Amino acid sequence: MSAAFSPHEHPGAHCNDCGPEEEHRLEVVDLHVHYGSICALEGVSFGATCCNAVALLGRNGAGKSTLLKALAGLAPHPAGSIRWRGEPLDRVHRRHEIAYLPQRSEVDWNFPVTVRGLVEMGRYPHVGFLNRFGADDVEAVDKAIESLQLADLQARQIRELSGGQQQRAFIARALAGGSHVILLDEPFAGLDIKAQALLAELIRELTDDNRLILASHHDLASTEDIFDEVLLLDRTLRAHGPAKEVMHGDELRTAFPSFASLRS
Amino acid sequence: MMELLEPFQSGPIRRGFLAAIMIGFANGYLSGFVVLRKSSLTLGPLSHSVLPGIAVAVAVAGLSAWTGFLGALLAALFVGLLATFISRTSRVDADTALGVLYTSAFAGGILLIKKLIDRGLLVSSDLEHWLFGGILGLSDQDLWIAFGVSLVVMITLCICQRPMLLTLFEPSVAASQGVPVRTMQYLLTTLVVMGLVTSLQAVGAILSVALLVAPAAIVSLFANSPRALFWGGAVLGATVAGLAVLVSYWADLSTGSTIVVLLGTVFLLAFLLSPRDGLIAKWFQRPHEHDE
Repeated sequence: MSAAFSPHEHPGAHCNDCGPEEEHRLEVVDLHVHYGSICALEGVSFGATCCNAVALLGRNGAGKSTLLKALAGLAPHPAGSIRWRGEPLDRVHRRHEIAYLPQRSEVDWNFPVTVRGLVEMGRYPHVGFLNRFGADDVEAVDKAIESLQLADLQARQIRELSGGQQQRAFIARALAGGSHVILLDEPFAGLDIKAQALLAELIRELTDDNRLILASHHDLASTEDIFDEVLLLDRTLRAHGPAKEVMHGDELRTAFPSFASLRS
Repeated sequence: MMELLEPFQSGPIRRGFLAAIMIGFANGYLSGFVVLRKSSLTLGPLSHSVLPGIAVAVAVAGLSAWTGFLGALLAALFVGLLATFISRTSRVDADTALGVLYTSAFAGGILLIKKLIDRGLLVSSDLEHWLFGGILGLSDQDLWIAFGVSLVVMITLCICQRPMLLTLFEPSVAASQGVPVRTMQYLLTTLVVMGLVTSLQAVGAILSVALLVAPAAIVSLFANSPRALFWGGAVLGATVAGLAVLVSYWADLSTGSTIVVLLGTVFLLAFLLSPRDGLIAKWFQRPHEHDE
């Protein structure tokens, strides 16, 4: 992973010199999301800064996916405020700085697009409707493909990839677009052990490169190794803090009693 | 050699050949979008809905290339939009609403056209022409309309290709990034209906869906990029439609039906023989192995 992928505004910046904290901070205050009469998220507030990987934990229906969708602008009528670097998160921000990777089951894998074509889609917001790809666009696409080790696979149709490769192709698209925040919905689901290790390593590299990663996760045992922080959800926010603390805290024991007893 | 050129000595064949290539090209291009949108099933109903529009237009303004075209276009758009409106404002879903509306429209169209024939405003061959196509009976004006419409459709799609692709691939993600997804969807429906009405000339209301689905369906078995799907569909649509005009001349067959049967045959062949997805290739392939 080269430092060239730091978002344009801060070339070569490292997390220690991000400047004032609020500049690279995602701030969620009192977020509510309802699907019809069903309440999916209630009064969720938290903050997260770049250079961190944040795991969203919770049982099925706890609102993990909903929270990611709300951040990506995909949840219906969210109430509350979401601010990125001190400003309300609007379409312009989302287009350039936030990348959302849906669960594998939500992607149309038969869509006739190659790995390279998919990564190029990440540049569309920069290139516009009609303009040709410039040298810097091609370079961004090349670099994203290169750094995710997809060079040999770039001519393949996306269905012809393994699960881990598909994950990497979507992450490459996010990188080509210069996204600062990457939202991953169950990225480890369905990956074999080797691909899981690769993805964990990749998440580490992305955070080292100044990005903020938020990912829903279901494997409690691996959480501490992969993530810096944990958000424990059960419609409301139950706990938020460094992974080490939350994973050994009372709230986690309440939410996942069997896991806690297994460990002690 | 002279035998190959023989069909072109007849004016109607020449014009039909030209029309087939043009309509095949534009609708083949459009078919890529139809296949990516997975909306081929709603097209059949829309293509049947044109009939009452043609009848009303003829009754109001008399029979001409323009009245038929506009009547057909407006009727299909009206039925499509009404189905959408009903599904948004009631418990009936869009497919159900469309199922009721298009059959009524089609039946109403038949009744109206029969009445117009009784009154001498139309002749009975006109009905067959609209139902099964009459590509060999096209006037110059018909050709110009088909050409103009095809041009508008293709230029619009070329301009909107990127937002359209984002919309088709991940509509919700595209919307969150500010792509006008709703507008793109309505625009695509309008363009598809325009294509539908031009292919009405070639293969008739009942079969016009074929030209808007089959070309890209065939190419999708080979193509890895949207661009290949669109342009491959265009070239294939034009080739097959043009060839069908000649085949129908030599074998003395109905042209519209020949176009559709030929497209279906190529599709089945492609399904069997495609190197990647073909049935035969799959027999010889070992279970797919992923290299991580």
